[in-house]
Amino acid sequence: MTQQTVEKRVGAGAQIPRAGGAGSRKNRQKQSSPVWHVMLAPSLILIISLLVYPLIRAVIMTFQKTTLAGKSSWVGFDNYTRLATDEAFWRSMGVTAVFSVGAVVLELALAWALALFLWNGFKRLNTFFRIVFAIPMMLSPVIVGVVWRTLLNPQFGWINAVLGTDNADWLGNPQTALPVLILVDVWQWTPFLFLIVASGLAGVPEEVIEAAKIDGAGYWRVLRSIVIPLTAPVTIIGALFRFVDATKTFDLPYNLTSGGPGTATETVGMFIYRKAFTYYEQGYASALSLVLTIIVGGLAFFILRWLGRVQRELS
Amino acid sequence: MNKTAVRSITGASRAIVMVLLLSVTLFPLFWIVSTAFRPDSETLVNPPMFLPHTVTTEQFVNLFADDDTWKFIKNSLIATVASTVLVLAVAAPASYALARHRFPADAGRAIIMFMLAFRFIPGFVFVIPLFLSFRDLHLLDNVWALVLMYTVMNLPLSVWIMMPTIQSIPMEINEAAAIDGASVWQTFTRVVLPLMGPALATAGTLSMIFAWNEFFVALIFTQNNAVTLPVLMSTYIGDFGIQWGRIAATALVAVAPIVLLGLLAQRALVRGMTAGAVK
Repeated sequence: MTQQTVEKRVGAGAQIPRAGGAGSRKNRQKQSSPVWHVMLAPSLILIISLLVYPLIRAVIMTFQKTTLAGKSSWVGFDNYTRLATDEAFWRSMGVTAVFSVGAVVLELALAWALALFLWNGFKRLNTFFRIVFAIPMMLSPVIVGVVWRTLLNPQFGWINAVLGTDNADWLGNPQTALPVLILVDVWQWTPFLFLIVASGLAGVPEEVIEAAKIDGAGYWRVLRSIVIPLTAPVTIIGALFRFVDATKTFDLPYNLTSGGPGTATETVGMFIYRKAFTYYEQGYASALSLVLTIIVGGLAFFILRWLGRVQRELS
Repeated sequence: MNKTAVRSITGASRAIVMVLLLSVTLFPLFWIVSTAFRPDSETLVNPPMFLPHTVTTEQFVNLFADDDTWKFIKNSLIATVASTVLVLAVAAPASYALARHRFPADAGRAIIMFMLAFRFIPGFVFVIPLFLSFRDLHLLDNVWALVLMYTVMNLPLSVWIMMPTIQSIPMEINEAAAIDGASVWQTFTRVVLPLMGPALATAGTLSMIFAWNEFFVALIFTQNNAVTLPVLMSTYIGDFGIQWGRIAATALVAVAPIVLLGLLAQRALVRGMTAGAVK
């Protein structure tokens, strides 16, 4: 998808109030038709019962303590004061921060480098190859985790055979486990950002670049003044979504490292899962996930606002 | 160095990078295919064999001889197909209503904003209370609970994909239908829906891939009866950790439909994957 269509999609939200702009009598009759409500009702019922209701119940649960038997009692802000000093929780937040930032920065850098390097080649790259490159992101993180786990097996794994690193235990060593987790995520998700950057590049009008070259602009100048400003907004939104997803990462560490060795790759997703479904501390786990939501949501909000300001300044 | 030499060097290095990329991308898939068709005696060997000496289908024979395998495949299929059909059936009219009707108190806008915000909230927030509700309703370990969950999880992206298509249909077409006496519902089914083919294909493809791959909810909401392929795959890290042939065969069964779907729905997918940027 080109940049313009992305903007159209983003803009789509802003156009909603314009919808159904009344006018003739006929239109007004249509306006009041109950059919509109019936069309929206099934979606609304699903959203309210499976998203809004649990969200409210989760907020209530953060003030409760639940036992294995399912009994709950009110504990006020205990869950929040407990998490503030829960070292294991903040350590898992640290692991998640390193994982998310490391993975997204690497993916972004690789995607840009590859997209620029293959720029002209990409236009000729047919849909078939785009699909082949996109295969990793279509796979379940479970498959990715389990298969890379075997590939990284110290004794029989193919990675050591290819790299010539006999018996190196990449996943068993606390020093290398997190970097390897990041690299496997990079393997799976670089294609996503690559496709976004590459189609953004393909959307940069050739005439503009030619005109700049005629005016004496060199490669870097064209890149800095034309290409990057035109493709940056889509790239940043893509990276932001990747980042938000990375902070929620659960499937990959669960299957690749089981959070180990020790707690070296225990992301906050793994930590909350254990609290909620191994120890059944579901009130506490709800408080943890709400705090995570607020932190990640706040970060995303500020990045989006900053992006909006930069875009306004550029235009 | 003259210009042609420079050009051929960049051309050659581009080709090398492409080949390198392709090999890194396909390396794990090569492992899956190569390991799925070899006997157990050739899996755990040091140094590893990149190609089997004996090509055999015994891993698949063993895998499918297990009744559980069929049960899990059936669960995955039900969860995928039913949730995709449901989400399209629910999202298409909702998208039309949200795009073309102004609801009182700007409720339509609020609904869209909430669906967007949903993507920023970690699944735990919803899944922990829903686990308790579903337990009380005796819906745990029931594949229809997964169907409901996947439907609602795919709803925001589907609406997000369908709305721009509906908005791009000229208002005049709607008005012409109204003048001809078509009701809102008739306009939707006879005029708008036939124009939504590509959007339905994109939303449907992405929903299918999502549901087929989904692990987190399936892990928490199923135990035995409703287990899906990803959950089965995940159990291999424990008990079956050394049965690499079995792991590879199961992985191939889980991956093949996705790759096939990707190749069949290429256009829908390329549109949708980058739509994922704003999913």
